[in-house]
Amino acid sequence: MSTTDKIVYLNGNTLKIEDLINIGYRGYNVSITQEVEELIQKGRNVIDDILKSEKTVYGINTGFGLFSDVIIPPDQVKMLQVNLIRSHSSGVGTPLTPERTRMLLALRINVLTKGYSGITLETVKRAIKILNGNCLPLVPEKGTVGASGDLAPLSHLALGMMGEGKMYDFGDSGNTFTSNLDVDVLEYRNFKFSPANEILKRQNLTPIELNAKEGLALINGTQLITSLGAEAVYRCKVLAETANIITAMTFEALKGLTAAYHPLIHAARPHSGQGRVAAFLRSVLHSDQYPSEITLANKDTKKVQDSYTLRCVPQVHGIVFDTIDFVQGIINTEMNSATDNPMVFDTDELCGTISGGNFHGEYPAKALDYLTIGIHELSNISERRLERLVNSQLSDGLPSFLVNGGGLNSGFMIAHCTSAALVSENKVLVHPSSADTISTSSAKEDHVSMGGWSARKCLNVVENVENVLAIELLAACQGLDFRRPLKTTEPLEAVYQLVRSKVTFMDKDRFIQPDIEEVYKLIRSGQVLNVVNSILNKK
Amino acid sequence: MIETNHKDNFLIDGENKNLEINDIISISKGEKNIIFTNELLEFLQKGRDQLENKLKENVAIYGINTGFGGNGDLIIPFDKLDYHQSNLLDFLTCGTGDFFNDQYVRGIQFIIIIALSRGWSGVRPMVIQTLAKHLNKGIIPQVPMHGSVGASGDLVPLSYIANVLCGKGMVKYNEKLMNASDALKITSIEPLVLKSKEGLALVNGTRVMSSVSCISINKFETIFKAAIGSIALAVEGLLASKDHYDMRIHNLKNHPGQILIAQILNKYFNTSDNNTKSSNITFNQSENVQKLDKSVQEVYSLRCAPQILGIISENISNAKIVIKREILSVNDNPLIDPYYGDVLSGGNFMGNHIARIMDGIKLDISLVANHLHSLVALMMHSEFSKGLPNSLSPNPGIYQGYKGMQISQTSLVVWLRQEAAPACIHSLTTEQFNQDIVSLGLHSANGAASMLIKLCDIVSMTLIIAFQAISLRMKSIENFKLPNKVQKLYSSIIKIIPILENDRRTDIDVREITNAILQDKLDFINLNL
Repeated sequence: MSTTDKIVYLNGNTLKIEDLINIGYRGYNVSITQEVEELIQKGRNVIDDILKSEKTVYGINTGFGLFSDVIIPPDQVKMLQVNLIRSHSSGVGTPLTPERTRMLLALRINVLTKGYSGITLETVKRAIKILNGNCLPLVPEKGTVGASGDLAPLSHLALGMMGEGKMYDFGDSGNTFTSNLDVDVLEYRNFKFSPANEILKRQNLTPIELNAKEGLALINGTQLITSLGAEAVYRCKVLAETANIITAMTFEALKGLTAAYHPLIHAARPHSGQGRVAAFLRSVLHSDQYPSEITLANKDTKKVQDSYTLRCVPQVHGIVFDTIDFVQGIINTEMNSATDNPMVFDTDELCGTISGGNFHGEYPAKALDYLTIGIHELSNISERRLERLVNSQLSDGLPSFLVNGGGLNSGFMIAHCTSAALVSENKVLVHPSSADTISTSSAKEDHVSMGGWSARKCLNVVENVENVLAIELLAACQGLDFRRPLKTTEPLEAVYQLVRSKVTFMDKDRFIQPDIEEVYKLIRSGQVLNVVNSILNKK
Repeated sequence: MIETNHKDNFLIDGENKNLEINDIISISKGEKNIIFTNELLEFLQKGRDQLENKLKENVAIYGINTGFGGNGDLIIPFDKLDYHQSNLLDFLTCGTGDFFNDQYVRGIQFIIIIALSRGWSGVRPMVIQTLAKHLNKGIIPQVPMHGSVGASGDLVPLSYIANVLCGKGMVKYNEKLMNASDALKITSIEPLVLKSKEGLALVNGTRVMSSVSCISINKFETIFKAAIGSIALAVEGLLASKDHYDMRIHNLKNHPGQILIAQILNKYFNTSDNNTKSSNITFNQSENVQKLDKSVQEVYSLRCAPQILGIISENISNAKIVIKREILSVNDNPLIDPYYGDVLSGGNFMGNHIARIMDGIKLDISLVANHLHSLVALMMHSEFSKGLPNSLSPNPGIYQGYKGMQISQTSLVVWLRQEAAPACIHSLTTEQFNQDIVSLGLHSANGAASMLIKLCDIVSMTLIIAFQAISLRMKSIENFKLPNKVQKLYSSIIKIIPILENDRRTDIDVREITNAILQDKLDFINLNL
């Protein structure tokens, strides 16, 4: 961990997903050490040497893309970089949130600290001050095909730092905004934008000035895909753990059988995630340490096995965990990769630049498509468990739609429809964006990753899964109320109490959307996960 | 006049306004021969003369005295124009995959004849006369299924048919595989020597996707008819209310397809005159919420079959209209105006109409499958089937009933949902950027054809399961009686497969019922779409 007192030190090698979340959502600032400064300067020296030597080098004194065979005179090399940023600022759509803009800028700076981009140290320092000052450019979220990197969004980022375009205007109160994954994530936000040069002036900050290569250095790379992907991975980790907990709640409400989680079964099929999920379920369900009155009362049941949505949770959730681990590895590597073109080297073997393809977004795009497929399964199986909870013919004695006075009251009937709608939406969104590629830039960029959509729709799916699980958790708590006076285990009772502290038992029909929202917040913020972990870790 | 035998003749006159989908089906099965009117042959020669006059004037005409596709800016020397056409066939013969079955290929041969006989393709009469001989004699080129992007038409697969006309490639004749040259010797047909334009006229156009689409839509209509029959059986097996099919309901929603499905179901149940409800449920008033013995209305897969499936019958009708229009169109390039000799360079070879319509049919196929899956799920679970044993077991516990069949059906339904994704959205640039947007019409058509094989098995499984449900009702309910038309359908099934009385393999049952559906041997009510 390279975080000290709400500062994350960027060095191009050790940035973690949680660091990025801290920068975006928890107000952490960034800094670089003198070692990093020297590394950046070393890369810049190579560019300065090239400029003196009058060699022809792509993107430094040539045009870009299809214009790579056009030579630019020395006195116009700076204008070349400025024109690059202006011409590439062609994104459209909703602006990135302030949190995600901070994450994007921090990640771009992290890549620059690797020393392969040839950027000037002065530009990096100014960019750091701009980030720490919350001077956040307006970055439309659409417009990248994820090859040559995320050119359009990164150009908007650079444009703002140049004092052109617009930036978020948080007013005069210290230029701060409130944000935390823990609270108020659903409050509608009404941010304003103002010209970037005004925002910078207000904060006494100097716009960046681009010299040779620097425009290219700021926009080559897949940092939009990767920063959004980092958030997706972060939320998926919380979500997958929480899904196990919610499953256990439903398990108790439906009087499930724990035999299917016996360690001998899962040792015989040793997938990492499967074993992990089974072990977790054993730890929170009935045991000598945490007895369940519901399970004890059910010991004479004639049922021999549960349906798959309870019995096969280790098998279905397990691969989700393994998928998240795999994707996290890819994203971690990508976050600490140099993605420039050309790349600047100062080694014994080579002192100069090489044109290559590290900017191509296929790695994060494929990883995030895969993550989307993995995480969406949690909603598929959750909705099927919800069906069992609300269907009195399948729920072993729970009333229809989990409400007394069925007929006059409809209970969770339409909440189940909402769950089904979100599950169906996810099935469309899991189609891999990276399966598509369209030739652009007069066939110079003839193969692209489409990773921007991979990342954005992954976040869409994550949010849908969070809501589907919120509905299941509400229904499970309602089901547990009908099993009273019998109680479940201590960790699960703690979850029940957490939910009931926000949402009361549904004794008759009421406006239910606020209930779903409250539980959604408990899931997304990690409170459901934390309340269980605090008990498990205690003993 | 072409030689005839005992078969009926189909007369081709150029406009062919009397052509119907069923004619294409008959010819694709070898049930009719092709003959031409003398007026048509004279008309074709007239168009050909116009083209040859144009060539003598040194007018640049795409694909005739220029290169092809992205080489459209290169002029070909006059003495090489004929070679240029046969060369076209050589470089296009690059298809892959399995071969189309015989029916599709015969359909293609016929559709080429229909298109060229419009007279705007600039071919000599000899070309369609030779192709008609191949078709009438039963010479079937071996045509790979893959290789067309449906822009410039189905170039690659069509090149195989054109090559066979020239005596090249492999054919099936009298059920034997042989060289095309050998088949032509046996049948005393002269190989065609192509002249200018004729290679292009043979390989441009949407003939392959049209043949596959035409045969597939006909098959879908047959299978859809069977699906409605399976719903009628399921309604009886589930002892479901028929009040929902009251025509007053469906007439109020205006959609002709919905009205048609409701009418068909009412015919099955002999409930056409249900202007008064006869099955009202009554209850005693009480201060408390009461639970009825059964719901006043059925679940959606039973109640809303006309609303859900009606649009499909309308889509089938519309697809037939579009496919027929495409088949009767002139869809090669360039076009030679046979009246004035003008050369028209355009894009009628684009298969977007076929691509779009067949992608829609793919959606419909998966919707039918989804619907039947819901009905089967009802019949298989005792809590939803009004007391039928789980998995329709003849002896629950000892025998497992149709458990295996339900698993198998679910596998097919999921597959169809995946295959329903539209092909036409995947356009990619190809061929030197000349074909920078393509229709993928053959992908759509082949996709639908592949899905129909699975759908027919799904319908068979539904019929078998509903048949079993009714058989169990007959045993357990004294005086259980089916409406006449449902009884006829039930009786036609029992002739083919036995009632399940002990556990046995059931894949043979599925195959038998699938064959019976496709051969129209079961007593379904016709839809007449």
